[in-house]
Amino acid sequence: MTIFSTLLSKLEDTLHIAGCLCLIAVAALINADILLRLFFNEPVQIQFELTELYLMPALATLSLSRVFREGGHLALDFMPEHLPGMAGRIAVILRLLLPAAFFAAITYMSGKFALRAIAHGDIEYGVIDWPLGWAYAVVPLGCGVLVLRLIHDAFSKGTDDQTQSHI
Amino acid sequence: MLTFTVILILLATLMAFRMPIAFAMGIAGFVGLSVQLGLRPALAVLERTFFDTSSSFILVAIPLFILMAELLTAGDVTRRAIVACQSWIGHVKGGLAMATVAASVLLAALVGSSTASTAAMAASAFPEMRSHRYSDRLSAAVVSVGGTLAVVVPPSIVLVVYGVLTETSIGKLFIAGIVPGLLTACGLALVIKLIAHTTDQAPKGDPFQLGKAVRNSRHVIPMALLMVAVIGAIYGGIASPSEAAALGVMGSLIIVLFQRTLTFAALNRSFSGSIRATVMIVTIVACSAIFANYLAFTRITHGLLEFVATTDMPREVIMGIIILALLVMGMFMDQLAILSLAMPLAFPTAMALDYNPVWFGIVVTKTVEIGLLTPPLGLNAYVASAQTGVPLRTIFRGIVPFLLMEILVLAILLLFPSITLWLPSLMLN
Amino acid sequence: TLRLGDFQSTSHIVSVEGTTKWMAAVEEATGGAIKFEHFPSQQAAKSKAQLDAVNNGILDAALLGALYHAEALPLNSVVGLPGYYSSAVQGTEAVQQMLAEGPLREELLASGVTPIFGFVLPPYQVLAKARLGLPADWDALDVRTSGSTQALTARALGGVGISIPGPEVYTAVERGRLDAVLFPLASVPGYKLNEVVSHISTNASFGGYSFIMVVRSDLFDGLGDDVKAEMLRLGKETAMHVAQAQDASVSTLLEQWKAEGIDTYAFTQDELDAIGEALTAVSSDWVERIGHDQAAAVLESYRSLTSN
Ligand code: NA
Ligand code: NA
Repeated sequence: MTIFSTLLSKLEDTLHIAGCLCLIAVAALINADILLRLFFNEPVQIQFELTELYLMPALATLSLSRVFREGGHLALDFMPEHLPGMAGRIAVILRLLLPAAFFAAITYMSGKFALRAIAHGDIEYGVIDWPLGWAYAVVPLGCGVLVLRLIHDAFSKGTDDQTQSHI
Repeated sequence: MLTFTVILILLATLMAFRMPIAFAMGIAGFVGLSVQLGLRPALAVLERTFFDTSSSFILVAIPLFILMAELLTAGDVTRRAIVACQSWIGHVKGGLAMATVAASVLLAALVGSSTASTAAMAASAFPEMRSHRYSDRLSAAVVSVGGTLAVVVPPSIVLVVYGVLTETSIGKLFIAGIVPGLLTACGLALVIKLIAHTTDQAPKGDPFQLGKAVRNSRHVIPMALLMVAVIGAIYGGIASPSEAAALGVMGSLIIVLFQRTLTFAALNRSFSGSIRATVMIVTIVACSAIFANYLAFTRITHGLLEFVATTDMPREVIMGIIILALLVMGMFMDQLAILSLAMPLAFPTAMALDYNPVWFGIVVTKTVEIGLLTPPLGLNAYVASAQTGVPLRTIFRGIVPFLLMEILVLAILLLFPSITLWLPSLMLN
Repeated sequence: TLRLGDFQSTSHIVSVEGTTKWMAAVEEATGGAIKFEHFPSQQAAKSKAQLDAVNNGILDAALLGALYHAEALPLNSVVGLPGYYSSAVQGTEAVQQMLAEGPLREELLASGVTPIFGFVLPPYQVLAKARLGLPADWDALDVRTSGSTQALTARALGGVGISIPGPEVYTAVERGRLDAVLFPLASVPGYKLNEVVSHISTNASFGGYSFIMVVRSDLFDGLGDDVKAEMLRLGKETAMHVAQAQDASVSTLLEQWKAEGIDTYAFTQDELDAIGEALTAVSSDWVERIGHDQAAAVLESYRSLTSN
């Protein structure tokens, strides 16, 4: 279990760094576009499509799981965190396993969708020909790791509290 | 209707058991779609919802403005600027919270999206209010409510979408938003004053000293320069409002590098914070899109609006019902989803009743903005909570007095159309 | 009851004179045997997801914007090319003919849907704060374009194609971020661009845009022959009607803008020739880019259908 925990955290951190790099790329590309256009009348033509098709989806979905680990997906907090007995068991299932099933469905469907696009070689005709499958692929990647995280948390008591605290 | 009630109960139960709101809306929407359309089509909805939601250039304003605020905060620029404000108005009770509202108005002139504005203020103004012993409840509420100004004060994504959906002049809408925006800001300042005088949530700062105030004022210069540069870039035609956010990031990076106040660890935290807030927002928007999709297939809002469109009640009552319906929708849906769902029916109804399209646009915008502050789906409160760590319950409690003021302002706008229409009619001549 | 998806709002002329009209006519003609539940404004699926939604059973029918589906329907994107049809009626006649038989129809059938009717927006014109004529006037201008074909169009004329989201175009023109906009005139009032430009061309063709009403094939094939025939007949009528309505609306709009003091101008024959010359590259690039063995043939038949 601890090896799995460590590996999962490593995986989440790696995807998070990828997301951060996408954000840096967005900021850099738009600035380059503005400045080159302003001073040399030579815009970075690929900026808009690259941002919209690849960078935004990547930076919005790759860190799904790490954000969950850090308690970043907001929940209403009117009920106490830990309920005793049966209610507590149901709460865990509702809170962790139901979303796990939901995101597993998203992972499966969006993964199939991405694979089909990759296999067909679907293309968005833009400033250059953008392969769409690879743009779609970030969604199942981010959601898939979230599924692992939800299952992991459901079956390991206590880690919940530790991870929530280092926000 | 029965299944719809069951789905709502499911949604409420999931949220009560502390499931993340995004997940709860997605699951409730998915179950609803499965009942309505069957399992296979419901699964097919999941294929591309996340991609379609996140693949949008207009969204870049969110991570970029948050990053800008995070950088300025990490580099101590915001704190110094607020210290400067503090030395001028800190001796007034609640002065810092009022300064936050004023800053929100300035930021609103630059940002067209509430969530981006809230996140930016939460990253910069909140820590200052906290360190000046303001209560978390008041500080986080002010930040959430101030964010709604971004959409009433031009430029505004919501007003543009309204203009496009209803073929109303966007230029006139923009001008018409100015006075209601300032009116709202004054109302908020009034609420802050009342709270400051009746509770100890907003303590007094040090007594006023002219020399110190003047000396501290130089700390405002970097922020002021940045504002001028970014607004100048938009109005000078160098960048579109979304692109200007990237200029803001570069500008703040230059400032903090120049001041040598940024550590590598803080830089890292800024990027993480920006990604975190963006992921949270996009997940909620994507999941609530699944729920909105279900809502569309139930035809419930369609039926309600159609009823309103065909009934022969007095026009004030019908307008009241429309506003009420929009407020209820605001509890569950994001603003743009509400507009595209409601305007095709609500707009022709309002026009048939001889209301002014520009006025109606401002009233509708104001109404859907109030939805950003109400549970269960109150995006601004979520963003503020994610950014500040203050529990949602506390924020929603803190928002209540401001919400009453927002509704009062809305009522004033409803009763006196001339407040909204005066400035555009002036510009017309 | 058929669930019909639509990315346009019900207030757009394409919906008022096209989609909504056709649905009502079909419901009446079939005596209620066919009924529609209409989901406008992307309520049921986003613009780019409409075709998938029909295939997946989320929807039964949809009004597709052909250019949103260029990856699944590459040949149908021929209508986006500049320099062909000169009015909505002419373009619609061509599209209807190509959807009746030939590669465009085959391509739709192959993706699981049956085309009922198709029509076009009036050709794209240029809106700017100056009168643009010969390609020399376009040198280094920032032109708002949507999609690759239009970006190539701007480049072929010497300008720079700029992508800006629809809702931001108004602000961008107003503040000078954009020098010119390629836009279908029918959509100009929606985005209120007439408030921020001073010159609008009337007789150019900087590209086109086609809508195709489709029904899922297995569903359509299961309908009675008379029902199918009625849907097609009324589709044909609606296509021509919405085209005429748009052409009429464009001339009304032009008069209105003229009265507002906007210079609505026609290109001279010399200018049209020079622009046409510059734009031939866009079509040959399209054939190459699509890389489909029928692309050249499709272009040739489209050319002949729009050249009278
Ligand atoms: Na604004
Ligand atoms: Na709400």
